[in-house]
Amino acid sequence: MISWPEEPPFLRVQAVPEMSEVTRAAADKETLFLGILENKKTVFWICLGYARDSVEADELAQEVFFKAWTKIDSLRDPKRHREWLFRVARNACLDHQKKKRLRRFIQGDSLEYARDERTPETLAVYRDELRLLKDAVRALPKKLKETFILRGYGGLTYQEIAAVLEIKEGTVMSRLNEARAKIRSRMKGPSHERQDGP
Amino acid sequence: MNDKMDPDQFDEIREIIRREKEEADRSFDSHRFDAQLFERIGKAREGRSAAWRIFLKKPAPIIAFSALVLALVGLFLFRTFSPPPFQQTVRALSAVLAEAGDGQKTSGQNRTAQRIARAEYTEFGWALKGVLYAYERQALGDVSLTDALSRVFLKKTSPVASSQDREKAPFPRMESPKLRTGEDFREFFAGFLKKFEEV
Repeated sequence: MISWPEEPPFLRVQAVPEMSEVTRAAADKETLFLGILENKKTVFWICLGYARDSVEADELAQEVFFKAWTKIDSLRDPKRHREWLFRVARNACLDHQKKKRLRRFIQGDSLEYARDERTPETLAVYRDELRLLKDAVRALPKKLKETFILRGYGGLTYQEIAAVLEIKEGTVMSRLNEARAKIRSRMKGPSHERQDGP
Repeated sequence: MNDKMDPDQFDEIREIIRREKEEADRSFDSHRFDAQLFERIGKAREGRSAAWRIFLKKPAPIIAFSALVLALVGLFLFRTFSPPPFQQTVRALSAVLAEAGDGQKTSGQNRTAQRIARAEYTEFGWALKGVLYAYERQALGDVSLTDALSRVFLKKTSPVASSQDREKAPFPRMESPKLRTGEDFREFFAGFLKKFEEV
């Protein structure tokens, strides 16, 4: 259960029996949103898969939940809110990537990597590996990339991924295998990349 | 390719991701995240309700502005798409003559009356054709009255023919003034009626 720092400023409606229909609907909406917000860590990790670092992932996760709040009326079945939320997250991340690509094209930016808030020792251990992994994930075709991120970063089950992407579980598994093989081959070096790359 | 392998056997990749997530978790502050999100949602809500409040308090300027915009758009569309006044007159005349003379729009109830009227109008039509011939100095041939009238009016409203075209024309005819304004049209029509009386 999430411990709130204080009562959320937008949560001023509480469900009591004598409420009007409209007020009750607003209260239900807020309760549902708080339930959705419990998945913030998973969403943050999915965003991390698309982002270059944790700061960008944080901003992206904020965007996802803001969109979720504005689109919450389109959630037909509250029991399947996780699936719905991850679909919102996936779309928001894809939009973000498009904007980033456009900005890079216009401004001619090069990719930057993690704003380093860690010790040089820690960095030395895995930064190169991380950079290689990020490059390899970024180079994946869209379908493989989103499947890989939902599984590898979000930790979603095959069933959940299949529901989010509207594909069969078997397809999820084969995409994951393909994505991992491509990532490994790319991380091993340019010679492998040329053989197996997209 | 690797279809028979367990997808989770790629420990190396998993390990890098695990460490990345661990690092990211350290900088992720759940309370700050919630606070920022609620602030953003709150602001968006206030913005939405503020817009409504402004509208409900002073709807007159917004309604007036909307009406002005609509009027301007309407005027622009009217000026762009409405035909010039001469064409409107020609169309109106043609429509009246087509209905009366050619008798195309007959209903079951007044068919007999129309048949009698058609005979009179046929005569009237021939008379008009005579006037048109006199006015234009050109044979009109076996064309309907509507077409004959349209032809004359269109000639009047079309751009001036080049000298080459004039040389090629089978019958020399008088150069008639262009119908650019309502006054031109009135003059033209007065002349037309005068000819009609003469014939």
